[in-house]
Amino acid sequence: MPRLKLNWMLLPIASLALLQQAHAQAVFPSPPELTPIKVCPGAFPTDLEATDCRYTASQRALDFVSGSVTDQSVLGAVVFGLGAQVIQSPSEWKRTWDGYGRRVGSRYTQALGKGTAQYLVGLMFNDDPRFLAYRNDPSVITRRRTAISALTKRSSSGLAGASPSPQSLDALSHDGWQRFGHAWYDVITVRRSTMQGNGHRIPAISRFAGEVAGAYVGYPWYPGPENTFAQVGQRAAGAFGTAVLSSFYTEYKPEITNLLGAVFRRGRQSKSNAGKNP
Amino acid sequence: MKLKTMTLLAATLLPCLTGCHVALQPYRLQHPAIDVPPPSVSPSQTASTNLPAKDCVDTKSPICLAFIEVDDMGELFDKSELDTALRLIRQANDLAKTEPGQSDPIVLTFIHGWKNNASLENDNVKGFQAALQEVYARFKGTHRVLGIYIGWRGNLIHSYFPVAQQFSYFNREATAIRIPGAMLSSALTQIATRTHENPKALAIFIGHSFGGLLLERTLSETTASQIAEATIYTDEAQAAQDTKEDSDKTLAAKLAVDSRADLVIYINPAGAATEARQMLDFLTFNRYTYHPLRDSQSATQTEDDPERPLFVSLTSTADLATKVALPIGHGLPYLGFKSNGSFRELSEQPNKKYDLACFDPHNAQHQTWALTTKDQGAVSQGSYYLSSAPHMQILQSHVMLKSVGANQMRVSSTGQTITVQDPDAIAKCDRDLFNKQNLNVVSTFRLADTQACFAIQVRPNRCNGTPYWLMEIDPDVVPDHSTIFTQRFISFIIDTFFAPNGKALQRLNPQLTH
Repeated sequence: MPRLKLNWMLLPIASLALLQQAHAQAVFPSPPELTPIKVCPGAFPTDLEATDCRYTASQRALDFVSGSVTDQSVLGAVVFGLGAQVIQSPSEWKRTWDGYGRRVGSRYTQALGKGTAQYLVGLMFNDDPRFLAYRNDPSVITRRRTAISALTKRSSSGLAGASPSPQSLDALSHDGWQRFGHAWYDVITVRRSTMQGNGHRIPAISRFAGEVAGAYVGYPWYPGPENTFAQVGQRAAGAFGTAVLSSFYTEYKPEITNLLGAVFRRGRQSKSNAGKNP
Repeated sequence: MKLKTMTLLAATLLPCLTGCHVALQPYRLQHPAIDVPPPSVSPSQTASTNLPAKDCVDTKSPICLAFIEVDDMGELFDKSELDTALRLIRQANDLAKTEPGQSDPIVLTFIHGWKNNASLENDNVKGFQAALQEVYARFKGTHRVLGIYIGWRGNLIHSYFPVAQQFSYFNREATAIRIPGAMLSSALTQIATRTHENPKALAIFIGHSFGGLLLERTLSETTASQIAEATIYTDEAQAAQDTKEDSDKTLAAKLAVDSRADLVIYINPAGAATEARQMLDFLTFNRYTYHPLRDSQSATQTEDDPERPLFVSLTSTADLATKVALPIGHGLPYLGFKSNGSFRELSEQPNKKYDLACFDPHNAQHQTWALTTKDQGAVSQGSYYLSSAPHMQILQSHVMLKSVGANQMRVSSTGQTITVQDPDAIAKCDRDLFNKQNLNVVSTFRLADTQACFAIQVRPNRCNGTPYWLMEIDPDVVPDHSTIFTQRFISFIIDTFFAPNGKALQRLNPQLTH
């Protein structure tokens, strides 16, 4: 129940993010003199391997099989099943091999159900569910390029001393709420899969369908008290949380990497020896 | 009953486990060299690589891609693949010599990494083809481009089994360590020597991930020998009493120089820094500097003759595979080495010292010195084993700066922000304007798509000033471990290493001096 409440609280944030993104895309038109930008969803800008931006049938099938059928989903079921075994959830299943088997089986079935629904609905809508970081979003790249172009022109026309507009400086920064908003925006919307990667955004119906299907497919496994509407909703919300985490990981990957890297870093330059830039 | 069920289950699962292996096989024996169509569009647009491959039989083809494949033990699948690659290099050189208007070739040899191979549908094969097209376009078609793709069994487990594929890390690392040997090392030497039959042709070797480890292990020993030979013969030629001895020694020195690559690039290398330490020590002890543009006639160092790298090791600050997975993967072997007493520790005792020798020809105070204590930045040998070389600040020779405002640059590896007094330097992305503020920038480049300005700066108070450049690069240039075939990264490589000061790099009597 608290999870549902949390989701309702997060809904306005997501709506704000939507509005913010729409505003951001409206403020800066693409400069006519610069070449058009092609960024495939989920791919890095100017990636030469991504000549065809479509989320192809084989890519969709690979993601489905590797994420929901084979060892990854088995491992997920085994690990999270073990966690459920420790806290004895649901309480009706005892801490026996039989209980563990049910916990693993129910989780594997849910992963399979979620993947199948997402695969089928995604196929129907021809969507592209891959997440994209804010800095790699084509609209953001266009705005940044426009701002830099304006600064360069200002410099070459002898106006270097004049301070650039706040909008230009905003566009040059990756920080702030825009990234947070973009991560939410990417969770609740997907793009249409197109050759050029310019498919418009649509609600992430395949993702929602996957979460709901995954939650409901556990129905035959779970004991009666676990199959109430609220319980199933909780399971769906929990599964949706993994999509949220995944989107935020894509957005904040450089920071997460730096954080993890700091833990493992060897051979730091000593402070006394590091020197300072002028 | 339970035993029966378990046996049945195991019998059912066993074929699945064996079926998830990618077979050990060559992919290119029938078509060892293919024609890559030149991009028909402007360089900023991406060329399609999805066209059916044609054999590269026409000597007029401006871009060709040859394959050389080795097995898990480092043996060639078929020597004819190497012969084809060498034949293509000779053809390109002959054309440059005989046909008017034909340019000197650039020969790019690439060794892929983990989870890749030389199969038709492999992303690295497609990416390398596109990269060759991009290089051709960036030089405006003035150079014939020949790619040589060295394939090995980097992908052991099919991608339908992602967890099992991750666990193939140890197995593939062992393979990347096992493959380097006489076959590959002689193949690379032949490629470089054949390329340098044309004295202006460029031979560039590139290794990515485990391919970087593989390339480093293959090259280190031979390159060090070639450098040492060239140095000895050059010294002997200068000391020679008669003309014949002088010319013999000079020729021997030239042959030694010609048998190594002009530039070796390791991208996100997945080898321990202990691999790089030996080469770094070799270059440091002998105080080598490298001037690929030095003309022996003029023999003076000018602005057009800057110091350049012979080896470049680059890694993205966002490369989780080498930043996090490598230390974890090396954790267990580390404990084994540690318990055996294989690692040397920092010590003040004369017979147990483990210093880091430093060399910087441009250091005003001293050209050589040693870091001996932890406070100075020295670390134990075990620490080198737990990190890749370019991630270690103490080994880095350069840093990448990225513009983050009208007059601010950020150091990608540390996050430190530098205020640039003259905003024109960033607006024009001009090396000389940066250097007017004593920033010691060696090159600058712009991303074609965002127009963001980047600069490569000599690391302040660096320990490594050898021709083995090491640096961390920004995620805006390389976003992770695998995404390397991008216009952004190729722009950075060309602007920094192939066109220093805006001039195209040409091979003119490269000199390693000491």
